[in-house]
Amino acid sequence: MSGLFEHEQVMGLMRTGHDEWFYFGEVSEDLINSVVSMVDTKPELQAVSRPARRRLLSALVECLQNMRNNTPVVPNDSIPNSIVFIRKINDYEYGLRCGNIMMTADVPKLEERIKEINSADQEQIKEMYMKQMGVVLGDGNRKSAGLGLLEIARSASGKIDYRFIDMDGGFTFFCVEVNVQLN
Amino acid sequence: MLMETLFIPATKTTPQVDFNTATNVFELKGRSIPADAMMFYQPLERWCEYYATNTTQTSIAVEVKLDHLNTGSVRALLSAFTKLLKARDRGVKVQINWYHDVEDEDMMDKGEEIALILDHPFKYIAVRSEDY
Repeated sequence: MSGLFEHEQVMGLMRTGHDEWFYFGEVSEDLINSVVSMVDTKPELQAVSRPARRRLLSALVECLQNMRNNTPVVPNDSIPNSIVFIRKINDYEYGLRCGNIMMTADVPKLEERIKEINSADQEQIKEMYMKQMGVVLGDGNRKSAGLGLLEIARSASGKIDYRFIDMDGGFTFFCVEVNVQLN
Repeated sequence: MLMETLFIPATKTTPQVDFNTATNVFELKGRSIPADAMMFYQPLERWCEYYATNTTQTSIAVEVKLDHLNTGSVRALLSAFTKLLKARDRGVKVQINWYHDVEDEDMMDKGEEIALILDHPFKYIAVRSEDY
């Protein structure tokens, strides 16, 4: 695959020098279970409060499950379709950086949604969550469309940082980053 | 027809389900973060639907002792509880007790949101997580 998207471009996005854990490849149920185990057993995370650990796990699980549920099949397996980085920023904050391939046609709607979430405060995000839950329940949707991003925003200590990198063939690489406070 | 107890053991990502028809105490306990929550909760939802239309009890207690729910689980739980609450139409008193860590206000908020959507009051019980 050639064009605007380059493998190194994504690798560069993920290199910070202080990363604790990273993964390239497909997000599977096994991977999610491994991440859950890591959060459960990492000694330094045992020292933080249970609610703080739950917030970190919540952001992580929603990121990973969003990636698992929304990454299309890409006709080129030389490029990792998902990337996950978890890094310790300091004793009280972790950073999550996740990237996955998505359909370019879905970018405007997703970007509009993130901008809407980023312009809201926590109380407004809660209202958006309740409204969206009502929509999901009302139309019998078997998925939880749009709720994952709102849950990530509720767990995060700041705004959702994001980037879209154009690829060929109607695909875009979507990278999202959030920080989670552990105190 | 006698209703059978529904018991599903806990896993790393799903809670223990113990909906006991001998005691009429229905308990969810642990962590609920499965990737496919609808698949996990489908048997529970069916059980609740059947129970609500067939029980001869006058009251039941639902004990929700979850320390973490993902969005899929909230959605699936709402669906299952909606079915269970249909028992109210037959005069059954449904008491839902929502346990949360004493330090975890977010989990209490989650319970309040679910109660609001269900239009059914919950009782909130703050405990130390290691106690449940």
